[in-house]
Amino acid sequence: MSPRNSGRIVLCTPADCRVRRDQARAFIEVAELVLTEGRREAHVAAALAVLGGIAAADAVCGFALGQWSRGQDHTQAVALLGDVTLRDATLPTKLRRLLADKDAAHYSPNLITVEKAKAMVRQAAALLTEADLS
Amino acid sequence: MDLSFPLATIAPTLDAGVLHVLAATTSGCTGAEVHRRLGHGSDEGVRKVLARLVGQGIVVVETPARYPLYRLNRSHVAAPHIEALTRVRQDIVDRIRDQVTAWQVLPTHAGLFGSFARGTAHANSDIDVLLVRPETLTEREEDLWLDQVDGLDRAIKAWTGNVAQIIDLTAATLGRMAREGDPLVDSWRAEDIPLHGARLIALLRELR
Repeated sequence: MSPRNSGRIVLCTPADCRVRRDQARAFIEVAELVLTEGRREAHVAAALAVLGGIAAADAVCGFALGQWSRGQDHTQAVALLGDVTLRDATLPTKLRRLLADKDAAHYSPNLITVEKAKAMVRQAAALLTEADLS
Repeated sequence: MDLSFPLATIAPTLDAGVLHVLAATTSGCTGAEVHRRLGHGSDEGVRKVLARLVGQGIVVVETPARYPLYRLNRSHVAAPHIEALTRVRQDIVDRIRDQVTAWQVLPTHAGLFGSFARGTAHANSDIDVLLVRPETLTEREEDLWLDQVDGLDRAIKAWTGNVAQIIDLTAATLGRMAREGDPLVDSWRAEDIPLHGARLIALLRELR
């Protein structure tokens, strides 16, 4: 692990990580629940998938490194996830694409389709699986 | 990187701007014309820079009529390097195209749009990429696809210092957006620099 001096990386305890993992699970479970064939619901599910993915990544980092990112710049969270020895090495990519899809949605709400939301929820769920195994 | 003025990467000065203007033309320009095309600096400042560059031999001056005409001296040993720096936009397009065409899971269409495609991008502009992904992907292909897209995202940042904004959608989504009159589709249609796969116009016609 490379030490970071940024004030946006904060220390956390295993108890904090369990709470964050529970938050991730709640976001993702609700995302799966609302994910029907409607496009309005797809937007809600996509937003929840992003929140769930970030929370799960925080939990993974917290369990492995004892610290997580608290910055608004999520690239720091992705970089920190890259410091973790992961069972699933695709997770930093999944988190980056999840965040990129959220940004791309600013171009047009039509870019968040039911299929896209399902893919985003799958990416978040993969991050949660890693947190569950931590 | 200032994508409209790549010479600024190494020399954010009036001198570099003047060289950029002269590299863009094979004909001679008056000092006033160089100043007009540059769009900033003072007329006097531009003339001082021209005099300095003439002293370096990289700019030649002729006076066929009333006003002197300045021209980039393409015989100068530094000229090819200056010209290469003014052409990095094409290098960026080529690099993106090379990377995308080497992918294992190829897009149905890949293209560039937005300010970079229009040639109006500046230092803080994003480089906008449109990727129409294959309609169905297995779980393994989906992971591979995401890895490819993410690799391109990071490569663009490393090559230019600019952020890539990648729109990754299926043909079905593209077709629906076109049918619903999404203005984003109009900008793709108007600006698209094709990189790989079916032409966007043909694809949109097919999806109508």
